[in-house]
Amino acid sequence: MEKIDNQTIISSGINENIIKFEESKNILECENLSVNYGETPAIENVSMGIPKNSIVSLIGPSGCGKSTLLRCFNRMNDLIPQAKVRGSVKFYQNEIYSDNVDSTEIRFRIGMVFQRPNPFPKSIYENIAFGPKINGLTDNLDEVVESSLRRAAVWDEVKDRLNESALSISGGQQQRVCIARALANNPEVVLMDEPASALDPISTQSIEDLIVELSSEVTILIVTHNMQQATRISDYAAFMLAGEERIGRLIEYGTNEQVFGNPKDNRTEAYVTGRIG
Amino acid sequence: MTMDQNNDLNVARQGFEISLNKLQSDILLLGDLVIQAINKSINSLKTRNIEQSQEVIKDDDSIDELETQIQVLCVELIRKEAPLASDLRRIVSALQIVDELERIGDYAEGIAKISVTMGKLVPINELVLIPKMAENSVSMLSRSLESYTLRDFSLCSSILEELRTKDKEINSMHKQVQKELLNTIKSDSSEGGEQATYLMWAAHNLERIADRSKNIAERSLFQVTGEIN
Repeated sequence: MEKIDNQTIISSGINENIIKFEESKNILECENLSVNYGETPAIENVSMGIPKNSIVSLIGPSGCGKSTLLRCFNRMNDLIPQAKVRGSVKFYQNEIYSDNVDSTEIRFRIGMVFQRPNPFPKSIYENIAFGPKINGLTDNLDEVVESSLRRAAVWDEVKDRLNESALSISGGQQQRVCIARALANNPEVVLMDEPASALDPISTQSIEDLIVELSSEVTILIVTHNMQQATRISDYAAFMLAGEERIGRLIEYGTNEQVFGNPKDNRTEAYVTGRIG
Repeated sequence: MTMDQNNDLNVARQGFEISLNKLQSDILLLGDLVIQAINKSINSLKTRNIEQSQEVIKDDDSIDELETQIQVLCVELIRKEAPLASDLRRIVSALQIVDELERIGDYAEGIAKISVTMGKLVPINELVLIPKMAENSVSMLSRSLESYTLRDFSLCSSILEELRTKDKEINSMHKQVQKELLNTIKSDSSEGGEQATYLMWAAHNLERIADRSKNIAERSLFQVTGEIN
């Protein structure tokens, strides 16, 4: 699948610091999205599109609502009892918060990888086969396990240890097994919440290489605090910031070149150059 | 941005900020050394002051040394600070500008060497337009260094436009000098012709100094826009 080209980018009449794409190119988009935890607002009026087969980084200081926003895109916030989501989130232009949408199916199609590797306390094989089995897939499980581990670039390292506990391998391998577990469901989007922050530099590099490779077939939305990582891998980057009232807002969203090379907003400039955050 | 964040902005990465300011002052110091070298080389050519010419040739080592120091500082800042956005543009433009300045220093040294080669030959025709070319080139270089310190889109763009016009004027003067010197070479088979050949090279160097001064103004604008033209 080819990446989006610049001709599909259209300017926004409302805020020139937020890049806007043709609606048909977006695999995900949110509009006026706000989230409260109880009475406390976490993010407010976020509107952005995620073009298909792109890598989009969400950056910003701690507490600015990046993870909250990320979780909205596959309804993970449904699992937090106090979370209230307002506004629109569309997947292929269909509202995912409609009553008739099955949130479990959404999470299979929009997978997630977390900050710390969280394999199930089962064998590597069972970890990967778990999702497909729930989906009723019983044939060709071996093939699904192998191809998922291959896509996650960890097959060669674990192929002789498939029946060993997934907790017995290194942190970097565990994280790639978790990515393989997400890929086993053939997701179209993978949401990643600081997937390399707990890993050593070599494992981080292999995760970054993997993300770039996967983006030819999967859309990646990644939260990261590592500016160099975001610069290396993203096609686009979104900068969020919470003001004194501690409500996260989208400040700037643009190409990698714009956000890390010449940001339009002074607050983005201050963040990416390490003056705030 | 809140007041607190603005205050944070002033103290955050203070060491890096100090290094970036040092980078700028080192470049301006290099610029001063290069301007002195041009002025001295032209003066020595006019006055046939061989000692002054030799001084320019010797001082070029200091220019080269400072160039290396600045390059080392840039590499160190990239390695230690992983700069992005305006910080990255400042360091990249510094690396480009320092290269331009070092080359301009070489052109001044080249004029001084011509002066030494010419020895005590009496200058012809008051060096035609060469002193005027030198004056304009030095003025362009000063303006380009001013642009480097401004970091303002509108001011840097305006200085670049001004220098583009001045560069064209120097190109015209260069052509006129070439024409006059060629006539001398054709008509004077003795000392005058020999001098004219040397002076052709001096004029060439001054034309290149103007070009590179314009380049510095372009790098200064890059520092603001991040756009490479």
